[in-house]
Amino acid sequence: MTNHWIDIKNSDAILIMGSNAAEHHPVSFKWIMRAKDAGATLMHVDPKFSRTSARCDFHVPIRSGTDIAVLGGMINYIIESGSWFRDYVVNYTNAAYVLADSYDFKDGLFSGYNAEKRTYDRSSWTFKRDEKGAPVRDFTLKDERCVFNVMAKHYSRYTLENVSKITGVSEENLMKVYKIFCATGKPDKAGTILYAIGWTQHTVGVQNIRASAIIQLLLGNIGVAGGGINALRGEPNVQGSTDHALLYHNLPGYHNAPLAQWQTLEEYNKANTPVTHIENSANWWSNRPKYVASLLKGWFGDAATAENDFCYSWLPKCEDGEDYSYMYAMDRMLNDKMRGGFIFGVNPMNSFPNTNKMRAALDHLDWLVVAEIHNSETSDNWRRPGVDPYSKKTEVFLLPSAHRVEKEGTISNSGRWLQWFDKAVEPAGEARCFGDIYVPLINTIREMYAREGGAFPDPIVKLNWAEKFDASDWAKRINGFFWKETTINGKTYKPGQLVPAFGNLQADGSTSSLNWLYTGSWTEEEGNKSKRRDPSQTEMQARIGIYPNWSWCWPINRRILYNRASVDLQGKPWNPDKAVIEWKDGAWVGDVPDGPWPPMADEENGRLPFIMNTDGTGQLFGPGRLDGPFPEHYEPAESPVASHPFSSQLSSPCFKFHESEFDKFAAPADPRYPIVLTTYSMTEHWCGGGETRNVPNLLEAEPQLYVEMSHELAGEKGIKNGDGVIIESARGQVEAIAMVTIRLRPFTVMGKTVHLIGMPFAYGWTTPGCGDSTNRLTVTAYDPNTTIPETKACCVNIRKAGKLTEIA
Amino acid sequence: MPVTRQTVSETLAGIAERRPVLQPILSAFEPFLEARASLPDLLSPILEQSGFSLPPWRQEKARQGVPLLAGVSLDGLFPLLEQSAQVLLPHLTALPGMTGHSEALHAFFSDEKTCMKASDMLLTGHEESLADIATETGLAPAVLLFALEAVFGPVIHALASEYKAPWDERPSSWMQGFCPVCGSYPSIAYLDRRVFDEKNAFLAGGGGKKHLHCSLCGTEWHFRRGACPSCGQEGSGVMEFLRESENSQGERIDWCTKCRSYCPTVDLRERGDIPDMDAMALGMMYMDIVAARKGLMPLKPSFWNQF
Amino acid sequence: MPKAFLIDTTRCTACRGCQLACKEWHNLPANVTKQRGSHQNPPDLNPNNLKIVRFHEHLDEKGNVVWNFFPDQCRHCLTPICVDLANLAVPGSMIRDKSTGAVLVTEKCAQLSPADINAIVKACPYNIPRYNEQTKMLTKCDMCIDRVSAGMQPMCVKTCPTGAMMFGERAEVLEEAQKRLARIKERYPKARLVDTEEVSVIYLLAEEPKFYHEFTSFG
Repeated sequence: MTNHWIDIKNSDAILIMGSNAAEHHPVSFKWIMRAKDAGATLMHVDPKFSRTSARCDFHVPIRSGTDIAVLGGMINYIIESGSWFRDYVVNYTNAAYVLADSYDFKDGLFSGYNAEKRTYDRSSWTFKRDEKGAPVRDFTLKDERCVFNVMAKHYSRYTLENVSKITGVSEENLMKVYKIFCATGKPDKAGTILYAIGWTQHTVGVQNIRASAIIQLLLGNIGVAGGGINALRGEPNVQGSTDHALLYHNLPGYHNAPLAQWQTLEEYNKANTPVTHIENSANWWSNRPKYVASLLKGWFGDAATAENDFCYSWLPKCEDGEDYSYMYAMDRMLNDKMRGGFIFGVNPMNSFPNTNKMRAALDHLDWLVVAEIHNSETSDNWRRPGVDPYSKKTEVFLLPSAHRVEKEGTISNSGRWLQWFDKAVEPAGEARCFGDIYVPLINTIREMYAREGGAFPDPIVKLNWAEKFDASDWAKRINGFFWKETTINGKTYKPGQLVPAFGNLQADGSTSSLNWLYTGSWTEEEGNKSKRRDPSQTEMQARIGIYPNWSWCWPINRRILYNRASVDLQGKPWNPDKAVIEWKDGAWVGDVPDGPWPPMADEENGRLPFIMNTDGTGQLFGPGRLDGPFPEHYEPAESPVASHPFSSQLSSPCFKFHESEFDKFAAPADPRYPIVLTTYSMTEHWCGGGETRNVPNLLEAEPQLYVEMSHELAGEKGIKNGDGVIIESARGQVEAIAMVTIRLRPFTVMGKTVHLIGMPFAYGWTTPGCGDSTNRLTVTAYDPNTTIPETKACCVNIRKAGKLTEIA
Repeated sequence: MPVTRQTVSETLAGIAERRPVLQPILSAFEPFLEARASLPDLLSPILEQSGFSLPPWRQEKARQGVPLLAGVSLDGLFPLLEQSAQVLLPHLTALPGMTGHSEALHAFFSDEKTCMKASDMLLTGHEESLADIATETGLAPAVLLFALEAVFGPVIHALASEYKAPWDERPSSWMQGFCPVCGSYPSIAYLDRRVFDEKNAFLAGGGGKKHLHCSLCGTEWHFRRGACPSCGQEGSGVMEFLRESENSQGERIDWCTKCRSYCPTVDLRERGDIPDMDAMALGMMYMDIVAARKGLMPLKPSFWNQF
Repeated sequence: MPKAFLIDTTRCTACRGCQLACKEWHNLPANVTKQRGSHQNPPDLNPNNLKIVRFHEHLDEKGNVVWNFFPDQCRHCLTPICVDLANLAVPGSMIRDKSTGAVLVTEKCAQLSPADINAIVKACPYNIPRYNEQTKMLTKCDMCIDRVSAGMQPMCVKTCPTGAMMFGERAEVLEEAQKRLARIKERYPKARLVDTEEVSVIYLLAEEPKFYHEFTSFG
């Protein structure tokens, strides 16, 4: 979230898209309803009418996987209707930047495409530069090659008619959403966009969010109260695990993972530390070497010195362009390139797409360690239905894992608040929390390396490690320590004392921090700030619901990111009634501003608002993504249509996929699989259901796998409500019970009727008779930027079943 | 839920029904508590006539923890005190342990100078000087203190009623465990019920915010539930509570593991009625006994919690 | 003083917290259920589910989806016909508790003949009581009489996270019901309270009772 939960109440228009907020993020709805009470309009754009839709002013059904078409249409509407916020767009975004002649876009493809590799050479996606290297800018926006005009041309193809044709959303419904949301382009109005995995799990997942960023920048909705782009994240601590680099492609604190071509720290820093030629750009990432050195110092402690590059050479390096994500890991397993591993906190044999492939792949392991509360489809894969357990070689170690109420620590919520939670009860039996599994395990391995030696013992043996797991100890390590006596503003810190803020982190090995974003969360002066529960605030903060003394928020307790964009060049808020920050008597008041500098009107010291971007501006033109600087509508990897009204490029030219015998795809408009399937979670079961299916009362309320479908489709297929049915994709088939409902309706797409069905993914075979993984149907096609699979849209067929075997 | 507060007698009747053993002492206190509860309404017109000017609520002072009446001259309030004494003394002197002091107390409350001086000392917390006055007037210090609190409390209550509870406004400027008006400690606390309004239409929340009830003037203010009103420590493991194992009706004792002070508390989410808090403070003396056995100190000593 | 519930269906999100809390408080085991093409599960009241949330969907005149939720339970009638019938057969087998207005089944209920049971079940205008073959008892909501007499709220009311359910003195609940009705009519002109004068469990509906459940109202 750029903003935070409470801030939703400040919105005038709320667009919920790619999320069933009322059912899955009920706390968001508390604040959504506050906004509604104050007069905001709530809109739900989603394939299915859900309890979220029931609470909104209106629901707009959309064919799954066509969000960019709807959003591109909105960008076109904003430009054509003049709804954009001119002062904001000209000063705070790259609208005025003139593009290099090399950039081009033709018929669905950007310049630089290599069809063989399915990748772009992105060097042409750049700006025209002056002799000093600074981008050429035309603040009058008259240059036809400036970003604003090139963008306007790009989205002029997204006419109401075209968008309606491909998405299946009526023109009337599109206009309703566009008009209401774009009315927030005024300085004193704000609109927010709330999304969840309904947007991310697509082959164009990243570009879905990019499209919303363009809209919010054009309307001046970023940095203001009640605005922003807000990913709804939940109990699994998605925010915290992302910050701490759960994924392979980065290191904690959003630093790129080292690549093979960066063999020294100097090479790494050179490649990853941006340089700006715009004088009033803060270019915050120019500080990266300090954060990386502190991270290495945190990992390797005394062993890390300036002379040895702080042990940078010990880090594993990725091959450039190689994908080490979980989808590729599973494929490597299938191809016998992995022999064993650990699976913690996920049940891939139920939740990963194309589950038949995943289950077969796991069989290739010699050994597997699973930490779980209950036996799961993953821990028990070797004895799944239809296989002979004696033919499966994998030796599985099931470690009893503590339940979340049996451990203490922090969870970072969607609004980036770090909140401490206490242990309610001791773990039952021999169960342990993950930390208490990892720390002793690594110690055992360290002892073995020390005793027996090995190929490359240093990174293990010389780790700055703990003897025992203690959540407080790790929270402090994350904040970071001084390693030599340091005086800041007259106060002297001794080695081993906590660093007060990330501004004090150094590149010379005098500080450590396991994540610079969290430096300042635990200080000598104030202790563990994630435990703060003080509701005091100033009147200005009270007006928009900022509680600066309640928990702690990264970075440096800033509650609304990019808040320098909420004020004009003089530092006066665009909307004085809901001011986030204000320049008053030579200082900022309100939220913690994005940096201490004065407003931009101060030509010498003022700074542009988007301090994390090299040039300081919000990126309407965003050259950093692999699949294009502007979001473009591409059909999902499996589409019910064979052509597309704006270009001849049907699906993403860059989406990734695998080619094993299991990775089969339906052709566009494949008559064998004419129906769109979307998948979702449900209220009564939690995520994949591995925990809640073991609670009898929850199973009583939602006992078995169902498939929701329209009366029209049911009529066509001769299916009655409650019938057993079989759903089939190119990859597998699944049994379910038909739930015939008016909450799903057929779409008219490119002149023909397209049906959409929806299924939860909470059921698995370890719960007898409840059905088995819905994901056996979903597709192993991935977003090129993140490799997230497209579980929200694929193509299937459905028929009435004779006899059911999975559901009893 | 629009539930009104019970009267003193309704509250006492409810307690007596569940704990017949308390009946005698509750009956003894009932006329006094009833008279005291009716006083603020009686005093309001006199306050209006008195010309006493109220100090304004200042957020900066509040943030520093300075109560409203700190350093304020009480000149002009004597007619209110006189009236309060007139109503209460007959009931007060009928209480167990107070008989025999009638004459001295009447004399005390008709002597404006001494009486106002003592009231001033009560507010500033000069208990030793109060004891000196008691000796001069021929009263036991405990008797004088009890009588003065009883008589002076309703006067401050009448004063406090003139404010629109700025201490409960958000953002809250009053963060202390003592009263924002007179600076006294609470005699009892309650956890409120959930609020149903359109703003809470999707998630009503569970209620449970803690409010402290001033032992002297009855002012109520919101206080952080995880913090100790006495020592101010806050966080996990600081506050614990004790209650009867069954059918406690939300009655409990919230005590601080750091300084071992306690305050009786009623969790309104666990009972149907909303009791009169002064009557409830008396009615929870069975919990005071438990606390005393555990070696805990009451936040506000009173007649019934000194063992 | 008699008690009453207000169940504001316009606030209900069918989270089914009440349904589960009810059975947990009463220590009732889970039924083995099947998916039958509906989220409403178990499909009906039964000896292990004294309260269930019913689901109903339809299209309004403009073609918009309307999805209604109805947490169904005993209405605790002011003049309960079940009590009359039961007492004719076995005096004291069912009672209406004077202080709360709760309609309760007593141990003597086990003495009722199958014909009596059948008559009582059939007579209920809201189709509430169910027969437990094992215990030979009628089963239905007991207003959490154990909790209420200890001054606490019924479990369903305490659990409801959205404020759809209220419980308290009848006079006060009725007053709140009228207030809510007036406010809700601004958004739902057809909103109404159901059988206010006859029952202790007052439902606030956004539209006609037929769009909720067959036995929503007596009338």
